[in-house]
Amino acid sequence: MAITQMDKMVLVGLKKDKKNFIKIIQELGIVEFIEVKQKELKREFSIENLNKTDASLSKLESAISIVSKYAKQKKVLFGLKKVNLSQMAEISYKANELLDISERIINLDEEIKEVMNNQLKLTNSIAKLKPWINLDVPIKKLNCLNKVNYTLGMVSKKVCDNFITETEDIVKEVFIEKLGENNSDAFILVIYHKNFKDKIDRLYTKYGLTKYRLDTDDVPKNTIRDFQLEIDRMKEKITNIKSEIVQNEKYLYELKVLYDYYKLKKERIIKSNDILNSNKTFYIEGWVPEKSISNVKKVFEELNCAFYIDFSKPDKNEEFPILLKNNKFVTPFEVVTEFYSLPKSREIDPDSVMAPFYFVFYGMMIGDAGYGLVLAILTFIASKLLPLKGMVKKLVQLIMLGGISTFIWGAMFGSWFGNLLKFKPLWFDPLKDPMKLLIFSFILGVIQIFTGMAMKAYINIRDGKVIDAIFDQGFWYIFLIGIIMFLIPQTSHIAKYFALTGAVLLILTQGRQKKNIIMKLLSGVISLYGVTGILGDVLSYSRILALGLATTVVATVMNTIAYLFKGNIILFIIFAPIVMIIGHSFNIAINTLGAYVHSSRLQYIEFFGKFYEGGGKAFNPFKMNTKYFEFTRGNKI
Amino acid sequence: MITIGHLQLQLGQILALLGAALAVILPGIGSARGVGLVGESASGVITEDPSKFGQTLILQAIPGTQGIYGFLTGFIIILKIGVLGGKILPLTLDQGLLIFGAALPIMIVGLVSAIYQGRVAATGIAIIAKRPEEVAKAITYAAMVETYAVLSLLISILTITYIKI
Repeated sequence: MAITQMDKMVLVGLKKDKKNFIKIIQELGIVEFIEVKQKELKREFSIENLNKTDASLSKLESAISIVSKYAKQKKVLFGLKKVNLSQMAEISYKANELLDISERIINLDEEIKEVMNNQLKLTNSIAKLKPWINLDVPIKKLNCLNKVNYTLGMVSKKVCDNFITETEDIVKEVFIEKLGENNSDAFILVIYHKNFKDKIDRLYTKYGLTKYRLDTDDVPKNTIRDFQLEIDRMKEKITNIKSEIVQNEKYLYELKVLYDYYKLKKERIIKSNDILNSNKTFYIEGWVPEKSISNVKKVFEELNCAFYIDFSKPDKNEEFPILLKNNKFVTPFEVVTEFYSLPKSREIDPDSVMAPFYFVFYGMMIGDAGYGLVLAILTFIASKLLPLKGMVKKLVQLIMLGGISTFIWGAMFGSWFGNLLKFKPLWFDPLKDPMKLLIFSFILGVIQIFTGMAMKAYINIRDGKVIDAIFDQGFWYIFLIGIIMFLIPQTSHIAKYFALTGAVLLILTQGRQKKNIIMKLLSGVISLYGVTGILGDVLSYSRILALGLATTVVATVMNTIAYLFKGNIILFIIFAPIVMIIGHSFNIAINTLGAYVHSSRLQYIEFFGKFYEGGGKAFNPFKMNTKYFEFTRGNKI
Repeated sequence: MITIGHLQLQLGQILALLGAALAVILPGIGSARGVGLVGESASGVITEDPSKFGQTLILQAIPGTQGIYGFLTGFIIILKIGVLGGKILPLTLDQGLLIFGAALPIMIVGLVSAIYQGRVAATGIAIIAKRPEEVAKAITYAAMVETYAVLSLLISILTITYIKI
């Protein structure tokens, strides 16, 4: 129930065995390397190994993504499939063959790109020729004309007819044919005797005719037809290449395993570059959880080579990396702390105390039994069907527990999908008596704040600062309890004695750090102002009422809207379920997020603020980080 | 009573309904603006890294709550004055004014806090862009602004609930 105790490990072995040790440490995944600075020992690098591995990795990655793209593989969302390490070893023997296959796949993809490029060029050429499709004379023949010139030109439609009329007027022996037009321009062929060149050119300038040069010898229609045939052939070629790529789908599994193999290898090489060496030995320092020490020793001994190993406890003030360990109920709540900040190695792990508060608040903030059931069932199914790991797994479990709590509180408040199912509330209906829920929220707030103070007192006592515990926490308790008693009618007459005693004690002690007596007393009086901070904290818990009400009322609204269709029985059967499903889903989603955010916020600000420091570093062991699969040894670790 | 042609309206009823309407309108505007602000930032991040969509979506949802609170308040008002039952209860001028006044906190604070919360959440998007693992801190910063919306909602709801009509 707390922070895992870590021990420091020193490992010395022969350089020839270094690779084996690193591999086994990676597979164990419970040793965090410590960076060591030692003058006599040196690092040794192996650049070429790293480059080769990187090259293989990128080749495999390209091949995998190409095949996945063309074979239309779905991406895995949440978890990795488990594979035995021995399988990975087998596949690694085929590395060369698989790398060749990858290269082939990459080349095929390049080919497709090239063909597509050419296809694009041809399409563009066709587009350029299209306006001239009505030209029935091959360009070759036009080019052979001796005494006669020709122009293929584009002129604005508005002036085209004028151009034709005027040209035919000025130059009698001229042939103008309008070959086609688009939205704005007309495409024409002009044939005239060389002698009239100047006149014709002047007319071109006057009417803004642009000359064209076509990139073909034949009649445009034929060229277009030929290009189109070529394009069709290219399309077929692309389809063939694509199906050839898809045929490699059967290698996809092995390619992925090989990728992970190289990924692990690369990380080992990088780690190995960091390790210090002497002439014949290597030296490793690392953090190991105390409970795993015997395991580590056993696994090292299985390597059957000479080594020296030693475990020692960390120094009194030495920080070690944090690995939280709690029972099954509390573990999901670790994400709340992890998202904020991990505890320092000598702090308390707040999770076991925080868990019940979070559980209750989360449920009250959603506060609908139907929603609670939906959340719990959905997350339960998700946890069984999807292979979840790490933080995501804890988050899903957290929401599942939250769903159970929501169910309980929903039943207490009589809210089942809003007012859809009318069951009597086991406790009371907050819509009818919101003040009761508000006061209850405040009471819960006071309980959590007092718990926070108690944690701080415990830390003080544990660290030997008993006086601080009594003065800072004890006297505040007296003062606060006195104030609370004012609000309870039965105790209000003795309340003032309590409150006054507490206030006087605080005034006397809260300034004890200051130098002279006047400053001490003044600081003491000012410290009483802290009661407004406490008041603010308690008020913060009113959001429990607000969020809980919001869920219930919006649910009721959704039902009301659905029932608006009551008049027409057919519309009702069609639309009412749709409205309710969409409306309630939206409500569940928004309120689940809100409950998570605000329950967390209450822990961070009102609870942690009283005793928690944080700033610990997470335990980051050297382990197998793979992309596609999760590898396991045959026997348990 | 105001008589316009055949219509007979009580000023009290008009004021109460106005209160409900503004309780929905103003926080709605605020949330729309706040959520929109975050969406604009998020779009920029997604152009570089589409995988951050889920986290940015969560941040975008946070300023949306004020609109819901305003809706909640409006709903409680129209429930109270009988609109949903089909027949609006007769309300005197002071009752109408009281209801309108009670809706003022969520009207104004809902509008303003949503916009400010949107700005915090939008800069939270910048946190996610550089350090995706710190998304919870970005969410916490944005959630801090919620306190004031919650307090104003509570006062509005409690006051409206306990006005006697």
